[in-house]
This record gives sequence, C-alpha cells and structure tokens, in this order.
Amino acid sequence: MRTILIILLLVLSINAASAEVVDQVIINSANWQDVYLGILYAELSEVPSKFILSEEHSTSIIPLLNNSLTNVYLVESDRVPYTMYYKSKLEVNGYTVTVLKSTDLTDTNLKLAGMSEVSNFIIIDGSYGYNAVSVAPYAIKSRSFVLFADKDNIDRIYSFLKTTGTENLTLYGHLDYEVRQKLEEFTPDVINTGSKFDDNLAIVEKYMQIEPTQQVLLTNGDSIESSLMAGDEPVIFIGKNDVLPQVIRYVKDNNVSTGVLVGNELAGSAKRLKDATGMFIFIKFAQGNAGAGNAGGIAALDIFQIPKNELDLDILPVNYNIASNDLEVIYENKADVDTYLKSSIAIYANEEHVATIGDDDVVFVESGGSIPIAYPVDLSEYVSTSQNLSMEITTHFGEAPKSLDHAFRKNMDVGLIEEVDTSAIMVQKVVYNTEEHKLKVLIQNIGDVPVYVKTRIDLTIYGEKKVLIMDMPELIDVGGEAVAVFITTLSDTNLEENRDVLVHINYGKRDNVMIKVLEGIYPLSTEGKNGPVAGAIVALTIMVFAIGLTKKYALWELIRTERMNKK
Amino acid sequence: MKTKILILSALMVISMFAMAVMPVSASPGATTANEVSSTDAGPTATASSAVTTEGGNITNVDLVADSYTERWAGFYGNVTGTINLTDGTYSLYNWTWTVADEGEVIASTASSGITWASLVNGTATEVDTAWSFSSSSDSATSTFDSTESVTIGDQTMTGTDAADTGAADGYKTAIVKDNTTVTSKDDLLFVANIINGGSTFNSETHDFEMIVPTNATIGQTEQYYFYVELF
Repeated sequence: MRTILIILLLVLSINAASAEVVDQVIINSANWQDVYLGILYAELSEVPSKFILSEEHSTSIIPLLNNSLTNVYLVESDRVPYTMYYKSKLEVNGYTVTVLKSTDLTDTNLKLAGMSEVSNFIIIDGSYGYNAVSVAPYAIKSRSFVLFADKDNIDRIYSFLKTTGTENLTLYGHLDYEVRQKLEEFTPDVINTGSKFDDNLAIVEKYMQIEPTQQVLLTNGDSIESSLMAGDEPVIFIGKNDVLPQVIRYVKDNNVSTGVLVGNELAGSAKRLKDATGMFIFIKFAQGNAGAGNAGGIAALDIFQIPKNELDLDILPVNYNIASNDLEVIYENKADVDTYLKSSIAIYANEEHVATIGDDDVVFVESGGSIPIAYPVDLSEYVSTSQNLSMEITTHFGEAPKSLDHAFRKNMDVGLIEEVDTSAIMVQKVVYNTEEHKLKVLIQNIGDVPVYVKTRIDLTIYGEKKVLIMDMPELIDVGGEAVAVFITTLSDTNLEENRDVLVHINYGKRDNVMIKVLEGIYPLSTEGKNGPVAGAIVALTIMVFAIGLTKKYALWELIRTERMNKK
Repeated sequence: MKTKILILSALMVISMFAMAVMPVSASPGATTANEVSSTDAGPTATASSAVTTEGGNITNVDLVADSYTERWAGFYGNVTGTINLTDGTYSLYNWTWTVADEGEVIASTASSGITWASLVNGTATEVDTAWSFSSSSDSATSTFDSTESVTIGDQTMTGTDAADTGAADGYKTAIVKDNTTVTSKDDLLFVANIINGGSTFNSETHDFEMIVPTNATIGQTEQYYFYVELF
C-alpha cells in the first residue's frame, strides 16, 4: 500500500511538472480577446501558436502542428469555443494538454499576464480592438503584456499591477477616466491623441526606438493574423479606402522602404501608399500545405476578425437654392458611430466643370443623424440659361477628425429650389443646473418666421472631447424662446474644464433642411445648490460673521474703555 | 440613393492549384509500373484531376511516381489584379494590373519576418541542407539544375539556382534567400515569374507554376505562405 502511494505521488508530481511546460499554444474561442491574449502569451513565451476559426478548421490544423512539441496549452472559451472536446482530440494525437478555461476575460487576461513573467504592461480599452492590434508588435518587442481595462475591472487590474510589480506602464488610446485616475501613481507613458492613426504612429515610433527598421506591416486593425502578432515589424495603419496624410508623411520622413500587406482587402489603400511614397509593397495573400504524399489545398490566410462598428454615410438629393446662392447638401449618417467628414465638390453645368467648392473644416454628424450643409456658390448664370447642373462629390470620412480613412465619390444631379429663409436666433445663455444635472442652452427666435433649431454642445470631459446633440429639432415661434436641455453629470473638475463651451446650432425655417448655422463660444454658468444662490448664501454668511466680529470688537473696546475710565 | 463603398475585385484574385508531385500512397518507397517521374519536372505520370481549386483539396488523384518525389510539391495558377473602389456605379479609384506587367509569386515557410530589402541568390545546396535532403536523384541539387534571373522590389538576382518545371514555356522556380547565412527553412524563398498564358506541366494554360520542397515525413506537412508584389 505504501509503495502504491509513493508511486501515485510520483506520477502526480510528474504530471504536474509536465503540465507547466508549454511547447505550443492553441486557442479555441470565438472571442477575439481570448485569441489575442493567447497569441501574445505564446509570443512572449517564444512558442508557436494557432487559433481555431471553425469546427472544420479545428480538425485541419492538427496535422499542421509540430508533433515534436508535445505539451500544448489550450486556451478555451467557456461559452463560445469553436469546437467541443478539443483537449481529447489533441490527446488522441499524442499531445499532452493543459487547459485554461476562459470564463472571465479579466481572469484570463491576468492569468496569462502572470504566466508571462513580465513587468511591463500596456493598458488599453477592450472596446477598441484596433488598439490591441496596434500595440502588439511593440508589446512583444518591449516584453510587455497587454491588459484590457475599463471602469468595471480597474480595481482588479490595479491590484494585479501592485502585486506583480510594474516597471513600465503605458496607457494607450481612449480609457475611462477611472482607469486613468487609478493608474496615475505608476507615472505611465500616455498615448492618446484622439486619432487611432496618430496613436498608432506614436507606438510605431516607440517600436523603432527599440529596433529601427525600414519594413512594416500594413493593416487597418480590424483583424488578427499571426504575422501581425509576431513582433518582427511594427504595424502601420492604413485606412479602409484611403491613406491618411500623416501616414504618408511618417513613411517618407522615416525612410520606410517596404511594407507587407496582410490579406488583399486593403490593396487599394496600399496602392495609394505605394504611389505616394515609392515604397515596395508585398501582399501576403494565401497559404498552402504540402507534404509527402499529400499536396494540400490552397486556402485563405487564417484571419480572425475583430468586431467593429461599420461606418455608413450617404447623401440625400442635392439642391441649388436660387434665393441664397447655396448648394444645399444633406449628409446622412446611418451607422451607430458618430462620424466626421470633409467633402470636395466639383460642379458641372452641361457637363462642363464650372466650380469647385468644399469643406474648410471637418463636419460632425452624430450616429443615426443627418446634417445639412450650405456651400456658397454663384451659379446664377447657368441657372438663368437653363443649363443642366450636376456635381461630383468626393467625401472622406471617419470616426475622428484626424481619422478620415473612409471615402466615397458620387456623381449626382443638382435640383433647383427657391427658398428664402429669414430666420434668425440668438443664444441667451448656457447654464448647468447642479441639482438637476442638466445642461441648458437658452435660445431666442429673433427673426420674423418660426424657426427650427437643433443644438449641439462640445464639452471637455477629463481632457477628452465629448459632443452632446439634440435628437430632434425644436420649433420656436416668432419672438419665442426655447431651452435645449442635455441631461449630463458634470463634476467640479468638468465645470472647471468647461468655463466656456462651444455651442453649434443648425437652424432654419425648414425642419428637414436647417441650413443656417449659429456657432460660438459661450461662458458656462451654474445654478442650483452650488450655483449663484449658494454663492449668495455663502456671501451672506461671511457678511454676518464679519458683522458679528465687528460687533464683538466694538463691545470689547467699550469694555476696555470703561475699565480704563474706572481706573 | 444608397451609397456603399465596395471593393468589387480584390487585388490579385489568384486561383491557385496544387499538384501532387509525389505518390498518393502513404507508403514511401513504393514503385509503380508506370513511368518514373523525373525530378526536374512536375508529375509526368498521367493524372486525372490532380488539381485543387482555392481552398479545396485534391481528390481522386491518380498520380503515379516513385517514392523519390515525396520531397516536392507544386503550385500553379492564374493571377489577376484589379482594384476598383466604387459604390456600384461610380468609381473612386481604379487600377488594373495585367499579367503582361509580369511580376512574381513567392512562396515561403515564413509567416513573417522576411527581409524583403535584403534578398540575394539562394542555392540548391542550401535547400538540401535546410530540408535535410540527402544526395539523390530528387535532391534539390539534382532538381534545381538550371539558373534564372528574378527581380523583386529593386533587387535583381541573376543566375540564381532554379528548377525548370514546365514545358516549352519555361516555367522556372528560382531560389532566393533573405539572409546571407541560411539558418532555417524560413530564410529561403521560392520564386516563380509570372508568364502570361503559359503552359503548365499538365498542358493547361496558366500564369505561373512553381515547385517547393516538402516535409518528407509521412503524415507531416509543410505550410507555405504566398506573397505577390504590388505593382
């Protein structure tokens, strides 16, 4: 019996020791963060990895595994694995498998970070998958682990960082205020320009400081592929349909001579980059398997798509307003993402190019909303001679003002209308009610016609821009007033950040074409418990106290004088 | 009018096919009564439907060859290049590459890390060493018994070892490397020049054909990644 017990303990200890050895990593999960973290752990551990893309794929990759690397670390989603019983399938093929069941993403994240035995960390918000792709090469090159943090899990992340010991911390991209505040004590490097492209170039620069290179990978950050996670080159973002000027400038200024595009979806943008910079670009477009007695098929690359918000911008029928000499263009944002745009418009009369107009500044269109823009242009001579008006519009758009990486071009006929709009408004004041948590814009109709208004306010919240916009327009009668109310909570810090606010109001007599704009900077006053009334109370209290002190002093003087007189 | 941004044709729509250059039988060393394939060509034995379409697998392969050809596999196919950025009606950007513009298809076991700006001639001996091919009639040295010039990027490599795989149209697979000293298979690249409407080993018309070394161990496969230069 004793002998049996000793043998049993010996076997158990051997198994335990084997389980700790990781020769390769396989990820069986439909959750991109599991895939990302599994690959990152493998790269930092310098072992190969593979991720499963489907039930069928899970079978096809088994022959591709290096069967001399017998200890497999399987990262498997508890809820959304691509295939079931994969551990067993691997064991049947001679592998020893240790499973990390991914039930809670933060747990998985911290587990793998701990196993990597690194002391450098990069903090990103898991809502922005492209940020994960952007930082991956630098993470591997600098031996940093990526931690997904938001206001819900920051306490756990913080505890981990304190317990583990953090040498270098980088905060990348947008992060919740609570995350930034909590991690201040680590004096982190912060990269957050408000543009995913500028952030990306900043992290590329950090990569170059470790290992200068003239070769980069090209992607737009919406997918994971093994080469993007290998750390051999930094990743530069090119846009969906276009390459941004700052990217072209970076490539030229830093003598980047070669780019490798993963997949051919962005070939158009890559071609533009090549034409603009002269760099050589290679496209990695397929994979194939070949073996003794088996010439396998050609397949697309193993690419894991990261969930993202798709942009969807459209233009409604365009009219030239004879009364105002404006080309009225209405942009419609059909996506769930706020969008910024900038257009260039070529106008034709009887197919002859007669004018070019466009946006000087970037235009904001909220998700699900629309915005009319009036472009001043005098086409009266063509209208008077009944020439056929048309236009070719090229619009660049994106999620941020400096990230206009999408584009489209349309040719459209231009209709004619004659609408005189004498509407006029003024902003009386902008006030925040601290008790009701309401931001109010008081607007007065000073014109001679009823007017529709749609109000927008640009705020700064803990250093980041936030836009509030009314869902629906409001009608104000002649001489009347209206209050645009935004329900929002502003802290004392936020009030300090927003002593003055930008107010932008689209207005007009037509509710579907509020073509006029009133925009200005207005001081933000407060009302409510901590507002002017409270201030008056405080002032009164001070006065009462001062009067009390004065009286007390006067009484003391009287007593002193009387004493002296008695003497 | 709903506007959508579409890419109608992905760049380099490449229909590629794989050819078996080795016996279908899983038993190495088996010989057949039919003609033994020569190592400098594709499968010379008759084959019925020994091709795969993209993403598919070879089925009903009817190749015969001797066991020496377990070391090689081939890929062939067509290349087109079109980028058309459009909403379905009007084009934002249009670029077309044709095979007449030439170019190369490059195969490598390297998924990443190829230093494209540092390419130099590779040798058959280096392939034999990397794949542990012993000296034999189907070694790389025996197979890559020709030379070829290839231009990748702004680098031209002349007289690099090459294998003549095709028929009269002269498909060749050239060996190139991105490291002066080859330390692993990943350092070696196999390059096929694109020839418009060439004749492949099976007398079909395709734009390129190439031969690559494989893992000769039964049950093991070599994974290749394919690259093409954007012109």
